[in-house]
Amino acid sequence: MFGAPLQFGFLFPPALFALFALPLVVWVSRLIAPPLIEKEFPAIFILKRLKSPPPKSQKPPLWQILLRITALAFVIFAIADPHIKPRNNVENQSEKIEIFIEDTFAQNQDWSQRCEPIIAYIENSITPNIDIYFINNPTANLKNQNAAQTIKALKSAQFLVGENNFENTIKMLGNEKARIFYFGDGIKSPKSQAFFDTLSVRAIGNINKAALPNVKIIENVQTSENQAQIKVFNSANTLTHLNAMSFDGKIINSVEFTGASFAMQIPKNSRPAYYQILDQNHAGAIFLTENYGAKPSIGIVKDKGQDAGLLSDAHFLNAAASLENIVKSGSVTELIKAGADILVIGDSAGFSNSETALLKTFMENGGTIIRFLGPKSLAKPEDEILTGALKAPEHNLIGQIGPNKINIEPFSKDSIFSGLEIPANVLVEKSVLLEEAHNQTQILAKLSDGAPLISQENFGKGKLFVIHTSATPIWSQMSLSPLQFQILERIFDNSNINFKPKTDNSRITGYLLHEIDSDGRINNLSNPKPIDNLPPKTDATHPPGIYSFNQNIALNVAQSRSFEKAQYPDNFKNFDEKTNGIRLRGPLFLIGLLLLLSENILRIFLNSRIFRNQIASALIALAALLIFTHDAFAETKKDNLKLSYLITNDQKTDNKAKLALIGLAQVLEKRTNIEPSGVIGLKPDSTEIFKQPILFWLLPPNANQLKPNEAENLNRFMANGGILFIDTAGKGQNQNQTQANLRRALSGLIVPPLEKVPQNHVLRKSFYILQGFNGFYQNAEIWVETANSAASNSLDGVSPIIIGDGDWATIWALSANSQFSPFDYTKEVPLRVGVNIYMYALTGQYKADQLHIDAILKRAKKVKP
Amino acid sequence: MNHNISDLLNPHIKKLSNELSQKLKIFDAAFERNTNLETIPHFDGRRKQRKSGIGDEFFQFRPLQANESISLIDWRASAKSDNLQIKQKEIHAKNRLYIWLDLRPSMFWVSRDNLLSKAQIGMIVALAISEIARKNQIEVRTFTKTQKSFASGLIESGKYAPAPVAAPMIILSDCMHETDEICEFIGKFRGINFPKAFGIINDSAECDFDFDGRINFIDKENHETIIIEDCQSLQEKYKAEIQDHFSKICATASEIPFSVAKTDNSVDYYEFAQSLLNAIYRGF
Repeated sequence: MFGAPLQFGFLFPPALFALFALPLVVWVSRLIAPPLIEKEFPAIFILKRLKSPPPKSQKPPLWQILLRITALAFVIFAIADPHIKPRNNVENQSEKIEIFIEDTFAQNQDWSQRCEPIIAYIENSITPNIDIYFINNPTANLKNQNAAQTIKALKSAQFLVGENNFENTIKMLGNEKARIFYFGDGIKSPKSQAFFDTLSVRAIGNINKAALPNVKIIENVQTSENQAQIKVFNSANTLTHLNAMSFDGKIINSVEFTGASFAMQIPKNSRPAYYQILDQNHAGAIFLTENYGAKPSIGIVKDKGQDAGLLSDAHFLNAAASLENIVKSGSVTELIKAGADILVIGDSAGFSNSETALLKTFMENGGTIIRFLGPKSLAKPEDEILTGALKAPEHNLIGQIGPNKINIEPFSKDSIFSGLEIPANVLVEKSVLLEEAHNQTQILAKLSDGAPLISQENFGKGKLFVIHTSATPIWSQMSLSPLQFQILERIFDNSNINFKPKTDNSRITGYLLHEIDSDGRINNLSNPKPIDNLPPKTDATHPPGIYSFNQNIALNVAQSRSFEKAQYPDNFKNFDEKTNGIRLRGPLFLIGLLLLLSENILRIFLNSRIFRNQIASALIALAALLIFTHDAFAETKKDNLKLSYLITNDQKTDNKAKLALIGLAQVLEKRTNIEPSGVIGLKPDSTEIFKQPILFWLLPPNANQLKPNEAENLNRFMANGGILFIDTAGKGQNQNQTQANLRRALSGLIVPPLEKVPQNHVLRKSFYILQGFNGFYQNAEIWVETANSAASNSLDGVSPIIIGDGDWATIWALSANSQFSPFDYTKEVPLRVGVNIYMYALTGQYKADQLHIDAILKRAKKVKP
Repeated sequence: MNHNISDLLNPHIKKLSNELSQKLKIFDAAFERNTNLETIPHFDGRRKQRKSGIGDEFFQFRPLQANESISLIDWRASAKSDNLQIKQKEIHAKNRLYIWLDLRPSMFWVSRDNLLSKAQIGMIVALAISEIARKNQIEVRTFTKTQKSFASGLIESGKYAPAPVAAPMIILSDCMHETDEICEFIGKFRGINFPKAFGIINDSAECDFDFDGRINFIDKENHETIIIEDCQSLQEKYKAEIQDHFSKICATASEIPFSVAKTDNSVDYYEFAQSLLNAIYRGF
């Protein structure tokens, strides 16, 4: 992974002292009692008989302690924050390092993450010769810094609005070659190419370029009726999530889009104060509008007539309008001169020609007039502000006095008053109708009899709202309810503000009211900064924000600027994280956590017998596999001995014989060191019988006479040391029949003289000490070659033939895959007889030879360790 | 984990018992072997028992004893003898096998979900043996008078200890009660001269006590609890004690005599069923 030697270190070595506290884990583990598990168990009567040992459960098992210690050690190492890194950057102490930062506002985006690899590199550097150049703000440049100073400077770097000054930076550079790290802001700057060329000449190797910010900047927002056209610079062309926000921080609308521009719908009754791109933390992600912090300036036009005090229109309008707005009152001339955005006019007897002209101009420029009607208006129907200015003078006003007080019709959904609740007690007694409605007149609200209550006409850039009833309780109870205020408020929200032509601010002192900081936050300044001159675009002394001159002016980062993606020369290589080494904190934490978790998981599984059995099985299987692979030719456990029976003329008998030997084989395997590898049936003429030490011949009730070749084969078998064990099963049958059957079967065989097994015969002690030879039948007998005959035979005194009538085969067969109670001697003795016969067949007379017993045992030990 | 009585009558148990009876079929031969024995089964399911009683065939002559009716005297035999002789006939009784399955709450306890309960194993074995017995004209009974079927009879009788009967019988229990109590129960069958088999069925956890850690053991049947602080350390002692418990039960049972077979629910119950069958078949 690394071409250079590696260095291992800790960023927070004091944490390693915690390793000394690890032995406490043992002590703490003992203090914690294991959990008490409840289990149902029927054999409690057994448990009660036992004396429970003192609880050693307080001592957790060793594996648990080791696991805990290991896990905690991993966590401690992780806290110490180890890392491995190459040594190549510390070999040369005199090597100079230069860091260049395009410290514009865009650099703030994800700064701490992006500079982390370079900080990690610098941490390992021992050169005291690091220069940091801030290309936008050269006053912040630092020279001859050591690693710690450099890291501190990088972490606390400030990013200002303004543009990179490459020419100035070039002048500051010396001729000395340096390892160069470069933080670009991702935005194309003029005159950068020459700077890059200069750096390329001075760089040792390639220039290490830090990751560029994924920066998105709102370049422009153009608003029209209910829509905002938004233009965005998106350096990585990723998804942009943009919100339109109100001054009080509520989201007016939210969109997601890719690309450079998007048209956003602006709901009625809303006036976005700023637009904001989410997931961006720089000043370019905010676009302020002049609505930010702006409140409409409302003028209440005083009637020229007598002031009726608390009963005047002005009083009621003032009361309604002043709740949240800047309200002035005066004559039309005074108010327009004072810069009112909205004029509210109560019932009046008309205006002079000059006032009418002023009002017309006011509306043409974008102003809003709200006009209440009443008896005075009715008295002078030629009022141009109502009709004459809009249409022909013949449009007269006709008063229509209703017989009853009338309700207000609920506001339609598309009305600007949508959602306002009309109190039930608000009734209108009288209203004024226009004789002929203007084509452009929109009826915004009606009475329940269909007569208009509020109408609107656009007039130039401005609007005229006519309330067809009085602002005072004289005609309508609306003025006594919150509804009048709510209606006015909705009209205010739908009126233009800051529509007046921009004045030349260059000679006016204004103030910075709200400032966007480098992190993209809007700060309301408690002490507004005085500003003499507002430049066309932001700079170090004119940060983005809301400036107040004659009216509010929004100065955004993107103002008078255009943005393009930066292109860096080929030798600006992305700083490779691999060369920076690896921090091991994450993996170590993860391992520690997994170990702690695994303790519980292991405990659960170890308490589960199923799992434990599986583990045991798996371990056994693994061990077996290891043994097997270690020695593929290892001996099998079983002896190469098959218990064999003679195949007769009766299938049923053969099956029984087979089952009997299977049962006896199981007994032999369990109780002796004879481990038969199976059971085999052999025909009397088979040569296979010569491989067998003993042949079991279960006589069928009607045994056939042996063929000559079969008899000869069996004779040879016996002569060669084999034993023929014949079970006549005749004890329970007619003795004559049994004897006839036996004689028929033995016909052709050379049978030595026989006798009942004498008391001192080896057959009685070859394994078990047997007094009798009970089989399925009690008092069964076994005949063997007489002692005299055996002594003279060539078979070391072993009888070549054993004949019995006990039907041992039945019991042996029943013992196959079964388990007799050791107390049931009716079954136990026949099994023991079988064991003794087979031990006799395999071991011969050695039990009789007590003289040589020591030598025999010694030899046995040598043969079978 | 506890099962309940409804688990004993589900189709799965019936299927397992059928499979078991198929495997045990080879031992039908053992019944057939009875044709060579002194007692010969009749096709009507009755057999002679070498005992005097109500029957059709001659059994023996014996001297008249005091208080016996003179009408019983066989005069022809008495003429040949010095004493008054009575002619006795051999009893004819139906072949019957009684099976009792202990169904006290402990029999339904299972240490692991994937194991059969002791009661379920008992039911499978009992149904399989009864199936084989029926094929051999042996009537299988439970220790209750009213029963709709053998299985329901087993369930009904399983709640109470059985009274001794003069017939071959199989008793299936987990012996999870005090040793003396079990031995006393077994002792009630002393003197009944018929083959008797005692099948002990356990849960493997009862034999091995393979538990770890600190456990509060609860016996719901007797409302007893005991907290064992370190189960692992007690395992060997427990094994020795439970072995002693079963040894005493086996010794008592052998004296009666009962043939004893034992199994647990972690191994195949085939050998167990076969042992029980072997133990009682000679009674027919």
